[in-house]
Amino acid sequence: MGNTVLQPDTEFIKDLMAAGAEDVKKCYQCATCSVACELGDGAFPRRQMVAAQWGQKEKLLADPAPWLCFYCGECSKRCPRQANPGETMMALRRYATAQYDWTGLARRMYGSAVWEIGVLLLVAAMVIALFTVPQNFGFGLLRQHPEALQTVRLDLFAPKHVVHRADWIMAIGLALLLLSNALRMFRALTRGKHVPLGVWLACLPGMVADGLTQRRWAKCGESRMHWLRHLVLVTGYGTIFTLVVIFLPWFQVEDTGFHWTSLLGYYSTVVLLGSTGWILLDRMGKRSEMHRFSELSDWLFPVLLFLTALSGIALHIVRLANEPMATYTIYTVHLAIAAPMLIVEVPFGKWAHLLYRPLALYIAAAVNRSEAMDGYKE
Amino acid sequence: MKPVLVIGGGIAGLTAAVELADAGAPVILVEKSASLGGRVARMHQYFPKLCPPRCGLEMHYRRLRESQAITVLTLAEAVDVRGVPGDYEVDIKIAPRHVTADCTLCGDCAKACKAERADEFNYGLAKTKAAYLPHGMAYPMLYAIDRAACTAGCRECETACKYGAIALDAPPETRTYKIAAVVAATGWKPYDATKLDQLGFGKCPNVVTNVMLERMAAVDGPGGGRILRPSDGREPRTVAFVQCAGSRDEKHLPYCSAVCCSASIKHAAYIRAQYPETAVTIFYIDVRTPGRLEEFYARVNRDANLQLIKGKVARVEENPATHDLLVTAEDVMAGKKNTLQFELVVLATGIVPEPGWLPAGLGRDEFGFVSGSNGGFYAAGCARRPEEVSATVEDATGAALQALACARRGARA
Amino acid sequence: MSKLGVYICSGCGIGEALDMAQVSKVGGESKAAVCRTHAALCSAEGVAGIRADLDSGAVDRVVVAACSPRFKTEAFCFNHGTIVERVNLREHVAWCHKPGDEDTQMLAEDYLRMGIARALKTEAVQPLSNEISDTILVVGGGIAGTTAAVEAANAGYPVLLVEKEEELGGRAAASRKLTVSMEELAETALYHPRIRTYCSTEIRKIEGQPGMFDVTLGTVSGEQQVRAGAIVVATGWKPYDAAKLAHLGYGASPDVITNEQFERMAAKGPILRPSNGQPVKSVVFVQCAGSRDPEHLPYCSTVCCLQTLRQIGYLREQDQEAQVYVIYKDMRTPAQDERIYRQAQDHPMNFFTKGEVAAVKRWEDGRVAVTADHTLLGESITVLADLVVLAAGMVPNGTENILHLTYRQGPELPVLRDGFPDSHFVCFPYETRRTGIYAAGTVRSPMGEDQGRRDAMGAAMKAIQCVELASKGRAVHPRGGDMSFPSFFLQRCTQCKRCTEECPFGALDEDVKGTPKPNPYRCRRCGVCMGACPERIVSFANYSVDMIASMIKAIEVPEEDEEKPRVLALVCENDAYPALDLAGLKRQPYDANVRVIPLRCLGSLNIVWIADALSRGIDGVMLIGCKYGEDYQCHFTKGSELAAKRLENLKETLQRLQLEPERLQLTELAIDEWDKLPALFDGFVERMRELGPNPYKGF
Repeated sequence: MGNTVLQPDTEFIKDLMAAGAEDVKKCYQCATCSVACELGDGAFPRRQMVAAQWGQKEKLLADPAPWLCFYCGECSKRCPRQANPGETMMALRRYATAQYDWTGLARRMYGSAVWEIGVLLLVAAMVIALFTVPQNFGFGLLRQHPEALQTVRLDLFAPKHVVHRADWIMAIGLALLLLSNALRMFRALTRGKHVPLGVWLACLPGMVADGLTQRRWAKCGESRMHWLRHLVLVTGYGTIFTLVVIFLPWFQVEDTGFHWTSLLGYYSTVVLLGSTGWILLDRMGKRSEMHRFSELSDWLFPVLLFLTALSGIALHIVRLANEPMATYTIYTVHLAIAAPMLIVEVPFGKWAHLLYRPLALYIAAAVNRSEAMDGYKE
Repeated sequence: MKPVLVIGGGIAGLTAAVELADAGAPVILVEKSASLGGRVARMHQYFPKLCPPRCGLEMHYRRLRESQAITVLTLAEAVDVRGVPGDYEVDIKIAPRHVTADCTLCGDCAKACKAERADEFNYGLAKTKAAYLPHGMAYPMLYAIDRAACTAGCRECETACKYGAIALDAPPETRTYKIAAVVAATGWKPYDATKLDQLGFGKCPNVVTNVMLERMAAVDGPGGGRILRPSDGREPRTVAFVQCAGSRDEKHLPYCSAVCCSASIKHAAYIRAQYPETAVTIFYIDVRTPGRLEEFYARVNRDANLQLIKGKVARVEENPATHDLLVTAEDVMAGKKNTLQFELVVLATGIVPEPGWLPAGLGRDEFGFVSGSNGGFYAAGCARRPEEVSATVEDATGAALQALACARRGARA
Repeated sequence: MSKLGVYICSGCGIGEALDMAQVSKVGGESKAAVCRTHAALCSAEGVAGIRADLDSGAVDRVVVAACSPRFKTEAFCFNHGTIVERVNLREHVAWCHKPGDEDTQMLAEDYLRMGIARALKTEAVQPLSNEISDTILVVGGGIAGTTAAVEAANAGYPVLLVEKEEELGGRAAASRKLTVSMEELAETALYHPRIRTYCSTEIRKIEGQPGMFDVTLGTVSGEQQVRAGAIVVATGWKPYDAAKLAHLGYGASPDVITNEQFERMAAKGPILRPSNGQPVKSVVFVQCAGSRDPEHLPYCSTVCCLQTLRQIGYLREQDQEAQVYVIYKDMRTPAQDERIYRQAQDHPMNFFTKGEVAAVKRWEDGRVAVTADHTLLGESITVLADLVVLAAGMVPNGTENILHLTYRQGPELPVLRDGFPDSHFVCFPYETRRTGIYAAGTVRSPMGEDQGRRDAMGAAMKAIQCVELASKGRAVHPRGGDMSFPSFFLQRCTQCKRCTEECPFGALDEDVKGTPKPNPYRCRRCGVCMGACPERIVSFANYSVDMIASMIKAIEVPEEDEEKPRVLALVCENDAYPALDLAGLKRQPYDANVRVIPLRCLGSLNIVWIADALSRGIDGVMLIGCKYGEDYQCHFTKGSELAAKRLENLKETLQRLQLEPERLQLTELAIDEWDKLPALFDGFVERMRELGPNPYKGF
């Protein structure tokens, strides 16, 4: 210690400040935030603040702590210097998400609104092209089956087996991308740390529980409501994602009769519309500390989710009303929203936190436990 | 030479008045409360010498008693100034004291009086009768009657006074004086600690402020000088000081109140002198003891029972059974968050400039401190900048010179 | 023969506590021309009665036996020069002793007798009336001195401004930025009709006293004499000797410099590496270089934190990308200056941490490596810099080779601690121990530019006050307005030099034989000389050895078999006396066998009084004075300490006389310790009872 020269990464400081941590330098290390935060190790997020001020990029990228934060905003609310530790942790997560992505796309999208919106539009255009260009799918297929213009026949527009297969390809592709990024995160966070396999396994159930319930968030200050809302939202998109990817043959139906899948679809729709709408209102009104500062990425995700749900339920309604052209058009629009959202947000964007956060918690727990064991041995 | 008007009878105003008078300038000293002395009269001791403020006050009072050059007006406020530097006219509104100069301090009025009022001198820690002596070092040394606190229709004090010194129906009056210059030494008040919602003040009886502790330590304070827990009157065995309670906080007082570090170190010295077993912990962001106050800090800090922890206290909770307090702060140098139990918590609340009337020409800065010195108006002391007594005295003496120069120019013109 | 009027008040409970007829008889027994009792002497009617007697010529001096002299001063203030002696029958008798009790009655009668004795021994003061110069001499033409000069001149006083360098400006001239332009200030001084500026000039000698200082100014070409009434010393500060900062790397590389060197470099031009003249891309500011360090400067130099922030600003003007590190112990930006700190933090390339600098070394690439332990980053860090700036502290420059006073007690302002010449009073920061000479700015305490300017005005105000008071023959602080002064009956002087040595203010010079040469305008009227003199040749018109001795003689000492011990308490009138008043106001009862005599200062205690008291059969003598030692509270800085020394010497004599040393006791008491007085008195009287009566009783 002391022999290695500390060299602040000045680009990192500027990038981080551009990614939302513009007030980080104001911190004078009073540690009010460490007291406000119920989740950290006692020096969190104060120590991350000073590390960020001093441009300690490597240290911060190897630190799972920013992922411990669910942004209840208590620290920012009480920070006497208005240095905004909560938003700084958010900026660190944005920065880390960009860093873990090996494609470099995430970095470009966080850095530029043109890139982010451009990519979304590009994917949307590809989806629309998929439905309009080929002769044996979408509107091309429809031309061969005029009966499908009289009554809604989705299998003559977007055959289930094709869509289902595409779903799987997309899901696997996204998962691979996300996992490869997660692997980079894993390597960054575990570098130089030795955790026995037994510990890894022992901590695994905790990770699953964290991922499913975000149980630690419930401890956060005054934001139990935020946690609950988020949890409900997770069940909503979890349900719809499962329906679309795994149960599509039972979900995409032709007749107007009752299907068990519809109930789940309704649930998801209500939850998604409700919670994303609520979140957007909060962001617009800056109603709570976590919603005071909104980057483009913070807006896009709930907006897209909201539009996905909205177009989904619209699709359901026009199908039941037996409006063939409206149904096919909305189907296309629905996918032109949902597909880019998933493709862009899951591996590269904000949604990546669904894996990063539990993973970081997992690693932190495992490292802590093995350090505690080492300490015990000594 | 026309007199200089000094607004405020605290240490800054008193200093300016006495220094001016000694330099040969007549002075009108107005004080809005019933006695001179201001905030320092409420202090037990000054840092760094741990000497009683009354000693210096007595020296000033002696000069006031003997000097013909100073007119003291209490319960008085300047309300309007007109004119040009060296030649102003001021209106001073004087509220009735309801006790005349015939008062002999016999105390019969207070004995007869049945109504009570919160004792603002003791920061509400005690009560006085509606007929009251402001404090043991009051100037003028006369009782006063707080008519707002009187029982309706009661005139008992009038009957009790053998010296005919009660004037319950005296009306307020406004006097106009010719003056040459104004020194505004309007002083400060402590920050309202109830606004610090995480720190328990007003909810937990054993959370007190630094100014209250000063009264608790004073021999003529409500506890006779023994520093005791308000909840049960027991001596505290563990005491925490919460520095920057409101100060250096963008949501409260964005500036540093400058004196609180030295004050808390002084308070630690009080407590340690009274209770050899009591442990004191001071939680701070930066210890600010400039100049030779550093030596005071170093001296007090040699005590093994005093601990300083870098880390701001962000939460104070109460154990309802014992009224002990759970204080949470990170020990920054160790990187550990601790919740420690204390029997008494003292909030080092900051200095807020007294609001109120100022002559046009004196402004206020973004924090409300008086700024600028325009024409014949000069600000001095904590009205201008949070500072300790010594700096206040320097400041007031300097302002007195500027006022003197203005008065001299006015006299020559 | 003086015509004495004795007026006794029976109001405020005095009448209930005492047999007024008996008290009045004491007045009658004295040679008083008039002796009257009134139910409320301070009332308009009561005062009018006294005034009528004065106007008719029936009386020419007055004893008012009523409340404490600290109250109703205005009511009992008669024509100018009328001697009024107040006897405190209220606070010291009626309010704190058993009403109707024999001992209370005896106490009151003793006090009245003592008051009458005092009144009869008081003489009218003939004030000093020399010709007084109202010129203010300001030594030092830096920002503080020039400000003092300009402000004093603006107030109408002639000013002599002496600067040893060629131009005004001092260290401020070497600063890059100030809130006030030093150039403009210097110009104002140079062209001010009431200021005479002497540059390249030193003080060779100062003789005389306030109102008439004869100052010899010296230049390379010769000397000249000027006269001044009061002096402001604003000779500023020196940077702490950087050679002593080797532990912080000073000398290890030319790129390690002090904040003062940085300031000079920045004032002249761009900030460059001293080693190679290359641009500075990284700087480490090491705060508290020497300050807050018992090995170096035990105090905080106050300005360095803000100065560093300002210096960062200079660097930012030339380079936005340079990395700036600040390693501090505590960041000290009090009051509104907190804003400056917050603004400086905002720059992304400014890095602040608390820390302890452990090493500053030359790095292999020629840069300087600074290692700090206990940082906020949770570990020790090493940073590399092109330039290291040591925020070296301020050392006062006001007490060596500056004034060349021809005083018996030394040529310069006496230093109390750390090289600062003040008296370390919280309430009276300008007081030095040389009357009429006031320190301003960084001579007195480390301070920044703004405070320094305010401070200079304050010191100028004190100097103005000094000449104003001197012109009226009045004393300065702490007995401001007092017109009495000591006179020396030199025919009986034995040249023992005690007075010239002990005077806390160096007021007395000596001739070759050691005879004191008084300088009454330097005098603060404390009476230390009077207490010191074994020959009792020093006295004031209204305060003398004889006077107090007469008061002691006026105490009636009961016979041994009456079992009424008598204790004399000689108390400081500044702190102990008001404390006694407060004990009365709080109705704190204490032993009525104590007789209190206030002294101007315990330092004016002449041991002959103790001898007188003991030889008259008084059983014990208490001395109550202010606290002394490092945090002394004595208004005359060392009066009570001197009394304590005299007492120690006396105790040895006492043993030779076979009197127990316990019969003498000195207690330090602060003004607010009234609550301790009852136990103090009761305990002492009790010990006297245990010791038994003074064997000299009845001799």
